[in-house]
Amino acid sequence: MSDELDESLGRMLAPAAPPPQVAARIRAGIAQDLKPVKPLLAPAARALVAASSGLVVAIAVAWAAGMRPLSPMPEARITTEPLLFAAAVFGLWLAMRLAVPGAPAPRRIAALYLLVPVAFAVAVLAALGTHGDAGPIRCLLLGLAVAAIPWAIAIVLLARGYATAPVLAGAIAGMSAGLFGLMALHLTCPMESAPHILLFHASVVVIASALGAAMALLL
Amino acid sequence: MDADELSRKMTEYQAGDAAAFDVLFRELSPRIYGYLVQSTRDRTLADDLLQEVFLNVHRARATWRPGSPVLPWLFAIARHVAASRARGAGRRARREEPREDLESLPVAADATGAGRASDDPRLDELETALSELPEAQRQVVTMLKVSGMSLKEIAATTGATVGAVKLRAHRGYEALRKRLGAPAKKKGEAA
Repeated sequence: MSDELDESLGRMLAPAAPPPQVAARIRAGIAQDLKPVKPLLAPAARALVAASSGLVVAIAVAWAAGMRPLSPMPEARITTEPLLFAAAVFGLWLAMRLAVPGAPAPRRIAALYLLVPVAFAVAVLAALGTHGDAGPIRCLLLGLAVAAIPWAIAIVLLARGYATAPVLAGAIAGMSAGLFGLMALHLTCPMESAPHILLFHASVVVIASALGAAMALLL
Repeated sequence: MDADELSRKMTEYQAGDAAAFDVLFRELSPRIYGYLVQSTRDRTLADDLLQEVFLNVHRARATWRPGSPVLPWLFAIARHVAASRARGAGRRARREEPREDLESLPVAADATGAGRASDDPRLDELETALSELPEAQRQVVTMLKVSGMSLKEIAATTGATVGAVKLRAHRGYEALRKRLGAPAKKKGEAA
């Protein structure tokens, strides 16, 4: 009986040739544009291109905006900076992988990656408590300015691929770029207050991520 | 055509070889079309979608990496195109008000359903049972049969884990067997 089910399913779901006029239309449409294309680089290579160029541009923009490394640099910031950079590179790799159809993309890990700002917020609250001044909004603007070009690089690389989960891929690409802005603020802003860091530093990552998701819908 | 040959043809297609595209189209379009007909249960829509899928395949051909399997790549695009169209149709349906007077109009025999009129009532029953499966299970059962992909390849196509795909296939088959009155398979037996 089970073999019968298999056989019936096989009969019912047998591949069926499309109508000849549809097939002819598709062939004609594609024959007009059969230019050779170069296969895209592997996701890891594209992530490294995005990360290295993003980092260089982020440093240049931060420097031009008058942001200078703190002196002396608090030790906690020195240790968290490589973590933020690693998270940015990992996010770019995830986004590039999500832009390859049928690549075994770890969607669950990708969804978990979106919790990076939450993890950052928890770490800040644990280290600094909830007291303090929110301070100036200038940091938010500077952070977004630093993140803008890495964000554009990430979105262009994403657009050259084909994301089958575009919102997720865009959110992750945007978040990775936002992390460059956060890194710049982390190294240059002297304020040690949790409200300031959460409102005007971490929100750079959240905004860049939301903009990435919105942009991916338009690609 | 085996996976290696498909990969070779795909590489030639990327290099701009029209004959390679023809071979790929001849080999792959029936599988994609079968999948689309089953996904949409509407042959006219499946015709449109097939065209859209191959246009997307053409636009995205640089994203296929030489040496990687072709089928998961192709079916991921087909699945994305079908899902996008279904989401769009859902949004339109929510915006539009239903007209009661249209309900009494006759419906063309092939306009809805997979359009596969069969003489076998069991096949009709199976088709209904398949259409009533949850989307995720129906997709896996259809892909297993139409595409000939492995569980691992279907997992890559759908973005799920191999375990999740296995579970969906198992549940889908069990539901079909139950519906058709066939005895359940014992543990360890293949779906």
